[in-house]
Amino acid sequence: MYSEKISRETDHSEFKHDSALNIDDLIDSACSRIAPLWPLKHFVAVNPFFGLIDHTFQDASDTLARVIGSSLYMPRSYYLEQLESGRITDQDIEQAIRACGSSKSQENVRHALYLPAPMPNMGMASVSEVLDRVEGGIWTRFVMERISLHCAAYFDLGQALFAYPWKGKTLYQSWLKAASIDNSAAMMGLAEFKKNVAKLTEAPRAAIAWAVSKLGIPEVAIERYLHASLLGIGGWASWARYLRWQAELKGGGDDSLIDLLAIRLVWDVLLFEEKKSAALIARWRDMLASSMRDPSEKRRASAELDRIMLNAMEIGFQRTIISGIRSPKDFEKEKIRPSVQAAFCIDVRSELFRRALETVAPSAKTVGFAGFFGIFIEYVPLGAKSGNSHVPVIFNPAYKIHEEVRGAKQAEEERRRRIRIALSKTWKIFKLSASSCFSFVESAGFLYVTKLLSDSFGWTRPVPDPLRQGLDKSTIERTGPSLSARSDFPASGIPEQDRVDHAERILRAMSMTGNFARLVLLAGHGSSTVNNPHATGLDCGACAGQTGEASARVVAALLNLPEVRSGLKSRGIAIPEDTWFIAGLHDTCTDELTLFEAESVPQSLSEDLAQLRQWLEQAGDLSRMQRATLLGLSGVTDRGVESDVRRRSRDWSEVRPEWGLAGNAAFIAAPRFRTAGLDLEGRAFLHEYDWREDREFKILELIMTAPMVVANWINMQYYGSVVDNQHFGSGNKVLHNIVGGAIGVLEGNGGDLRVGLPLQSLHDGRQWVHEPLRLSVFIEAPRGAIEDIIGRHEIVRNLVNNGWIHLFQVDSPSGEISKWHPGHRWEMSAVEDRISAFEAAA
Amino acid sequence: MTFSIDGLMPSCIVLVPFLSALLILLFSSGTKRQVARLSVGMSAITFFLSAASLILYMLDPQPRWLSSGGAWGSLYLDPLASVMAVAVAGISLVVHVYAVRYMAEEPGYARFYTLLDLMTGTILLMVAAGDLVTLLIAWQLIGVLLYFLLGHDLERPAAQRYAFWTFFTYRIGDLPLILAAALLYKAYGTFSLPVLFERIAESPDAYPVFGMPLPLAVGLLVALAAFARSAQFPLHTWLPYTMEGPTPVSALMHAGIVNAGGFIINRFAPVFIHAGSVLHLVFAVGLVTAVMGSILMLTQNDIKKSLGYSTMGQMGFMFVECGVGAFSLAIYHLIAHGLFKGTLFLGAGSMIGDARKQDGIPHDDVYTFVVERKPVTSRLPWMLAAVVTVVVPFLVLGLSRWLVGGNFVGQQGAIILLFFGWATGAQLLFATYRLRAENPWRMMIMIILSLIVVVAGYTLIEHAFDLFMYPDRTIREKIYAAASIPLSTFDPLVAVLTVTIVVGWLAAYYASASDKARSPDPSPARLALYSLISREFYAADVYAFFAQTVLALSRSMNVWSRWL
Repeated sequence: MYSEKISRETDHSEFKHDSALNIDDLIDSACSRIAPLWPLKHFVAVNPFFGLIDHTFQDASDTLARVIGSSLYMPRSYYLEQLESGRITDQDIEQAIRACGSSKSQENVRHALYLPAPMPNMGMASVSEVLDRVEGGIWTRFVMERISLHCAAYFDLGQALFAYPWKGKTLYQSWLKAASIDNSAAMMGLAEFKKNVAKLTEAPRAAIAWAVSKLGIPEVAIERYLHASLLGIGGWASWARYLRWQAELKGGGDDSLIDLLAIRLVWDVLLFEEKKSAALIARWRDMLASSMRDPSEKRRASAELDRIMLNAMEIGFQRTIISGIRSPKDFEKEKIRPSVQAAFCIDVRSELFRRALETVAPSAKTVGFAGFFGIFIEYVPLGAKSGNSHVPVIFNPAYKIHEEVRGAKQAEEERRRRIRIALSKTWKIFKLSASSCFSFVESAGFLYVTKLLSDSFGWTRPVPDPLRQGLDKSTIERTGPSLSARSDFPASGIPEQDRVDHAERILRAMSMTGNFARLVLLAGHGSSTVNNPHATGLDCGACAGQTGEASARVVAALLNLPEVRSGLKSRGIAIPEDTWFIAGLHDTCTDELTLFEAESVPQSLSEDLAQLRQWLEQAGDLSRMQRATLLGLSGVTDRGVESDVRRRSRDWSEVRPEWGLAGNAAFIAAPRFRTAGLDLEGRAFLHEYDWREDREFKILELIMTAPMVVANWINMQYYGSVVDNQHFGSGNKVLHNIVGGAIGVLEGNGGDLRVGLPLQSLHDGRQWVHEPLRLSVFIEAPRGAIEDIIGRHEIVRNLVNNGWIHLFQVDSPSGEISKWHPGHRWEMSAVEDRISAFEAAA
Repeated sequence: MTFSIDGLMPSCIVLVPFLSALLILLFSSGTKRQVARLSVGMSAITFFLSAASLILYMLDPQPRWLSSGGAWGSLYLDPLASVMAVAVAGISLVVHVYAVRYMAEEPGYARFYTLLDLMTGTILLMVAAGDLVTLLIAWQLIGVLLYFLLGHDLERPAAQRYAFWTFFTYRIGDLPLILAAALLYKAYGTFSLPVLFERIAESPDAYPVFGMPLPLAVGLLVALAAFARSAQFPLHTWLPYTMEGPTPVSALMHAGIVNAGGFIINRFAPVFIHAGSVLHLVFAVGLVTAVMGSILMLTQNDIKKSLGYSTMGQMGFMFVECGVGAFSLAIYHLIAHGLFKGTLFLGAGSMIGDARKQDGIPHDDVYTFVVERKPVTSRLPWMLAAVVTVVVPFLVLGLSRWLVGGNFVGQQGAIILLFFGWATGAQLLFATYRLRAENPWRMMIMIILSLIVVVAGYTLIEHAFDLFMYPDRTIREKIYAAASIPLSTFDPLVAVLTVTIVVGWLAAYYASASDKARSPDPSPARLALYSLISREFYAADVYAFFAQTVLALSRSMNVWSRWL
């Protein structure tokens, strides 16, 4: 709906301004700095600094400091705390000083830490902010609320039942119409507001150019000002950016972001024109002048200090990993057939479970792979006509897989489900519609006593599980994906000629080409929580915020087909007769693993299946115990931990059902034996990769351009939400208010749409649980291959050369670690690491 | 009515929450877990005591009056107090349990629980108050405590701002109630409520006030206090904006804070028997509020404000019921609503659960995303459906009332409520019609059957409740009589309303059936209306203006007073 609205800019004549500079380029550049925001329905992690990765990390921090006054580093007190608690050692600081190329000494650094940091400056403040300082009052909040209300109404996905009258127009044009009949500005004291709005141009780009000239912004500062304005309404800007992203995926475009910028700037100008006083003009000029000045010596020194401290923290973390993985590992191919193979998502929470499983079942072999298991599907639930995409957001699904009920007539089952859902929708209309809600309360209000009590004590869910709604228990057990096309949906399923190709591609990508166990488990993951607006954020990001079971089931079904197996054999992948693929779902909240279609497993494997179930249960216990401390349950018995964890998944008042990916800091692409036995504390993304099996390093390329980038997105989202929760996080979960149907959340009643993570996902009430560190990537592959991929892909190049991630190469079989430096290329990790590792362990 | 000093249990119901608050204050150095356990435990005790009290009352229907010995400071446990006490204690218990984890990381955990307990105790004091002074004290304390609860988060300026709006409005509402109490005392010489009501029944016209009979003046003042307390138009703005605060507080507000208006009117029922015109005013204000609340709810884009306006509409409806003389129904409504809304608030995060399941399953456009739809199903012919919609609910409702209540045709109030029920049933059937089911007849019949069951159930319950609350038939009749308007006005009104409703539904069906596309440029009238509604009738701006003025004034007064 929005993608068709590409406004055509032709007439700038009314609002020409003198310079010949191309404002369009500056506008586009500023817009590209904003990262998209996915709706709550499939909330995925996004790197909030995505638009800045062409800057180095330090430059990006400086830019943000000049634009909004906050940098990419934690406050001084945080680093001091880390130093005093021993998390940062003197050695770390020494190494960090060297790594940053600084001329300070260690004593300088320690001393400087105790001095107060320079006050953050205002950045490029908007007119409303300057006005607030001149005359007090709530101008910024007022403007923000007006814009936010307008955006919420315009983009509304279904909350408001009285439709927005100007939906057919672009965002900017509809704002012009709405503002020309809105009296609230007049009530705040802007008497000429409506008149001035009527005089504005209808073309957003022209409006922006006009605004910039009216405010007298110097040319070199224009882009920064535009960027600052966008960050001022960062939430809605991110939403508009998402719309553009979606439109581009389909081959179109969307200009709501430019419209939004125009609205913001026009507000500034209108405020400026009406409230023009000597004080305001003076302050405004002052703000512009100070923003033109380069950062002072003091600030530069402070930034350098911050940089050293961040590097020191990261070096401390890297040391623990390096000391663990850096040893010559026996590269012999395993001769023994593993008792079970289990493929999990690379999600950091899987690391905990995998370690637990390997502990209880030493003969098991676990593998890490992206949670959508390489199959690009859109999964259509029973009774629906279209479904959700289960692939990473940078891709489009290739196939439509329908859910079916085994051993039943599809049409009948679907009809039944549709009727049930339709009835519940009718009930809901009855409940909430404007005319009937009164009598609804009379007739059914009292029934809510039982619901109130049972939801309160966790016996029931506040709303039925969306995946299970409308189906009985016995039916649920028989539903599953259908690989073949359905008669009423000829374009569904995976065509037979494609199946073997996909199967081969997936197995090779997972480095599973031989030595198959009797049972191979493909485990997707999801999180069972209730009353959680960000529920999809806890589900699988690789599956676009859905749970991973659909993909796992499809791939397992695919690999069990006899014709696929014979096809694979002809291509060199021989799966033994007695091997069976089974799909499962790892619930990261309760650490339970549910198996699907266990009844289809051949009789001969029933013992293996029973054994697997037992191992999974034990692994679950172990994982829960490991997580117990962070959940505040230290010193509680096994049973106690289990029941508390289960309770958390059903308790509607629980604001932190699980810690999610808090603590993530590393990405390791290597065979499992490289990291086996290491306690990575659930902080690492583990991707299985064996470079010797990788023809032309295609899989390495895939890993570096997709999973590694996704891990960076997740890492940076956590980073941004900790470092600057005001701009890149979503504040206090307790105050979250869902807006626009399911677009996102507001904190409280008004204000900007919020992006990122709430404080409850990062902070336990006393201290930060997530350590803001940049991702440290360890890849076991030849240097040349890695360099080649860096050279060929811009995104990867930007990430590694600009300091957004730390890249390490693990040499095999020696296990020597080398760090990537742009320009210097590779630098071997010094010997003292090994010594310091022992010291640290002591 | 016999007076018996029977004692410990009823006073415990009120005292236990206060005791809990005191203990928390004393032991505030304890861990959060201890505070939570203490408070939840005491809350549970309060609930069980009030439930026990209600059961005892049902076994032995004698209202009890307990006095502390002085001129004031007494409790009066009649059916109204017993039922309200259970509802308040119940919702309070649920909120206590919810807040254990929900507020676990907020600063001021112990303070929050102290306030919750104090609030619960004060509300219970209000519902069980036996004399004017106790009632007034409790009434005003609720306003004060609410201010503290809403502004619990000391760091958020927005929370403080809206808490102030609430306090402001509540103080406007406290004044009439104080005046009413003063008038009553001056006229009848006693604070005690049962005695007061007896004397009013004996001599209602004894003491005119400015030419008005006393009950009329008192009734008007009480009604004004009720309007402010229950967010009636135009004193409603504070309600949706206070949803900004922590969710447990929003849920608790439905347990006797925002619906105290309905309670106070019921409490003063013997006064309203002689103040029929005030009841008409209450009806009018309630109707306007109900309509406004529903309209405003339709244009809200975020869930909490939407729920806030919905509550405003429901409170309006509660006043409509009072205004037509169905006092006990108003209490029934406010309790049912409290349960319903409380559940909705506490589970507001599940909205996303709702949004997740819009997976292209064809249905109505409420709460949906834009999905490609393939018309595969049929609908009933619109004329037929319209007739069914208009006739069936009317029949169902009429029949059930007749079976239960007998002479309902004589009660005007019942007829008006019948209209609401009719609109509801019609809405339900209309929604079914628009659903494009595969077997529309089957759908329609299923819905009608459910409607019959639901309506029958509710009529029975409502009738039983009425008998429970006002066992004395003459009082019930007198209330209805006070609320009714002359037949010569009523009959034409009913006729016009009937015709409007029938025509309205026919038009709606016609529009839906022809699926007329909306013209691209909305008319200026529609735009103006939209703008007005989306700005919430500028009430918030007016409030902001007044609030700023008051604060500025008090600041200047503060400065001047230093020179005195």
